[in-house]
Amino acid sequence: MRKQVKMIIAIILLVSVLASCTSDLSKVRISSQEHSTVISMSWWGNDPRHEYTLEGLSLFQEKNPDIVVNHSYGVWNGYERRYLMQMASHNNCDVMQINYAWLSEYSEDGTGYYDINKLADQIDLSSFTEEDLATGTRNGHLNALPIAYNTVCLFYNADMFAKYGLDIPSTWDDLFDAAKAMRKDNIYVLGMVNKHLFLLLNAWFEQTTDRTLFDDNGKYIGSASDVKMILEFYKELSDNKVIMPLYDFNVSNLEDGAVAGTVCWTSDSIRYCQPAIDEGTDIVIGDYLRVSEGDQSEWYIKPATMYAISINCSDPESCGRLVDFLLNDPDFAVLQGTEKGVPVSSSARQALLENGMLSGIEYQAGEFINDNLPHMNLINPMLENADFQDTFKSVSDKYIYNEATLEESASELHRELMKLAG
Amino acid sequence: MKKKSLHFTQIIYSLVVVFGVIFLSLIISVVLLRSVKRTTEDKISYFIAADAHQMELNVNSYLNNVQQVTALLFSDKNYYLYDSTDTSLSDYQKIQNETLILNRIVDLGMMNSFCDFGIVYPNDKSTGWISQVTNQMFKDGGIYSYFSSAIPGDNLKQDAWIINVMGNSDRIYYVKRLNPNAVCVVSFYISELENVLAVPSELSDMTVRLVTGDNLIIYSTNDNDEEATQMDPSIADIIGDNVGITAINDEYLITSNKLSNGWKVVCSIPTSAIMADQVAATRNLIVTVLLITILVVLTMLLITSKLNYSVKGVVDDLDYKARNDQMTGLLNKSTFRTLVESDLEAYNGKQAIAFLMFDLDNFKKVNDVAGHKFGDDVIKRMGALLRDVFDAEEALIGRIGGDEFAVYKSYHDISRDEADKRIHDLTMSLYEKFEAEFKEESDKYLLTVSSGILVTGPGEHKFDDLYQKTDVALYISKRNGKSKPTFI
Repeated sequence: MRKQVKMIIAIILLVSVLASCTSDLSKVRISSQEHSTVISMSWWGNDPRHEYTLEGLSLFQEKNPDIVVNHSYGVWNGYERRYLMQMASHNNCDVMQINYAWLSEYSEDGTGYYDINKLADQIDLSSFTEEDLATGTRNGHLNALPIAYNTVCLFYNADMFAKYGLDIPSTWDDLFDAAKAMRKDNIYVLGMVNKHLFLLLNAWFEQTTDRTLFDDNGKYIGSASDVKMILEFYKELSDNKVIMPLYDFNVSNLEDGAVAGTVCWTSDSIRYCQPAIDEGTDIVIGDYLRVSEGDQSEWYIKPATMYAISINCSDPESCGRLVDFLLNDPDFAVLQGTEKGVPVSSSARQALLENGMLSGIEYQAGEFINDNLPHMNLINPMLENADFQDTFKSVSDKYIYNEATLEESASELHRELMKLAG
Repeated sequence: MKKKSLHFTQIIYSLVVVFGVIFLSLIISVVLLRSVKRTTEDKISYFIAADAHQMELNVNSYLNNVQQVTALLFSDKNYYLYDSTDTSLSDYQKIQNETLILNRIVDLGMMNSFCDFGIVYPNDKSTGWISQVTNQMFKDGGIYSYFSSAIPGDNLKQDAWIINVMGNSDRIYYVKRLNPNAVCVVSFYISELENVLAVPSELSDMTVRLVTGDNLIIYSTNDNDEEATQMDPSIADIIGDNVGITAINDEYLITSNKLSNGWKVVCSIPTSAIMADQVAATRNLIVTVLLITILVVLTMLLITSKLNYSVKGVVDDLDYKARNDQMTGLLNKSTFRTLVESDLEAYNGKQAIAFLMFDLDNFKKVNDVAGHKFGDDVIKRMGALLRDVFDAEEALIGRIGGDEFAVYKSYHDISRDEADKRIHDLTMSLYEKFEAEFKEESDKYLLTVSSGILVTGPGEHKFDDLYQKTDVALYISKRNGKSKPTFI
């Protein structure tokens, strides 16, 4: 009996000691650190785009907890230069919102961007037609997918035209007539930024001369007299107060009544027009301007921004999942709405339709594109070339502000464009 | 018996020692755990403080970057001395200057995700990127005066950080005066700080807040916190005006780090979240000790029960032996008398009392001829016979002499007459069974049984009276030829 009691006591003591000392210091404990795949995305745009894209990226990360998306964004002004630097230094983001013109610039032979065809398992390409895919295909490589189509559109304050007893302009002369009526009240017929001004002048030039300034390969083929014509017409528009001085124009001028119309990308229509619409103003989309009634207008269309994947990306499959989310995910489609235009992706369009979001000025602009599609050509990328546009602006400023003669300016512009053409 | 009590003492001492050791282990473990808890808290505080300090450096770095980018506008007089309201400049000169500034801003800002990066002038004109959202907030004018007046006059650096501009809590603004008529405005989304103030996944219960010097929330990782409102007072009260501190109480572990612009990074994590392992360890220890205690108690109960059972057996045996006649198992004379007296004294509503005495006739002859062993056997069989007849009646049966037996029964539920009849029947039954049982002994040794039987009603009865009266009846039976009962 005594032995048994001693044994029990010994066992109890042993268990007590073991219970107190649970750590075994000689053991190495290894636990893995939790790291997700990190990819990056860049875009340009304005506040609404930044806000919904950031919200969308949070949603994407919720749906894909194994992926973290770093981001880089900014306004268009300067973004192109940032992008140039990033591409040249190979510091670009993995997923990029790109401009249509950059395809020819950075991927001449189709190898400048990742071939999205390889990511057919991650990206539902069936949401796009053959024609849609063709816009982003270079040399058989699917370099980018279009988000929406875009064109420069003329938006007018219909109430203001009615007030002056004028019809919405359909010819260039109509613009001058409207300016004649409005300028006494310090109202300009149109306000726009430099980029759109040049596209407007180019349309007038092509309609008037039936020639183009650039050939199909983007090479400048204009003459000094051609640019002289353009500068002269610009001066005429400026002197007759048809267009507001570029440096005075801002996005609020349609709303505050300083201009009766504006020229901008359809993808920018909400930014330029919605404040005025919200104030109760009747904003309408005007016909493309022609030299005279019955003429065929020459305007251009392009994919309104696209998504591309960097050739240097470390994890193409994760990038593919992000691109699919941005283009096809119904939740993101609803967040995005028609801010970039009516989506090309059929699944995104379906989501908008189901949520009653295919309406408003952006949608009207989309319908306008569809109506005019047969008369429009894909834009020549050179017309959007930043260097080309900066050159035009700096030279034309001198002429418009009487710092140089027409001949001097035309000659300088021609010389500079020749230089750019190489 | 002495040896047994020694064992008891030893077991009890052993159990006391075991309980003592367990209790001591518990105390030591709790003390050790408390010490480990304190050390763990210190270590975790140290690591969280290091993390908070890293966040402080990150945010400072982010804010410094904004300040440095803005400061680069001072690299050329054309950028920072330009005044849009200068009437001596022609429109073209202004355009040239503004283009120059815009290009500089584009260069400086292109690698930053700024919402605004521009210069505003007293005529509310601007150059650079002043976003539509910011312009809309001042669509009736006043953008210059708003940002200009936000810079304290006595601030040598002539700059300021502003939140909640015109009710907008989405972005943080930084303003810096370039000249008496120009203020640079920079802004970025507060959400940009998500990466700067990211909570490590291992500390998912931690809340990181960026607050102003007055504890107004600028950014928080906790969805319940609303921007531009006061921080939770229970946290604000703990940190008070202290900066660069780590505080811990039962509720929170809190760090507070001051930024270069006077704002603070405040991290808080529920103490329960970081000490969960410690709490679990304490709980496990207590459960283990409790289990051991229960185990010991059960062992003790088992031992005690076994000992009890064994001792009780001995005691019961001794008691039985003291109370009963060892040969027949019937009550001995003394016990029989005590129990009968006790029953007689008890007032328990007795209706009738029966006292019977039996004496074996010629038993001496059995002993003499067949031997004492056989005689003992006859006595045992007679005891068994009495039991057979009277046990069902729950009567007291005793052996009160060598071959003399007595039976006592008090009735509560039947009258004296009924008791008389019942006793009569039982007696007759006994005689019948006796004849069958002892037929051979009766033939060989003339062994018979005589009896005296007394059945009386309720009253003050004494054992001696009953005994005497019944003995007389027995005597009558013996005198009248034995082998018969005499009822009185």
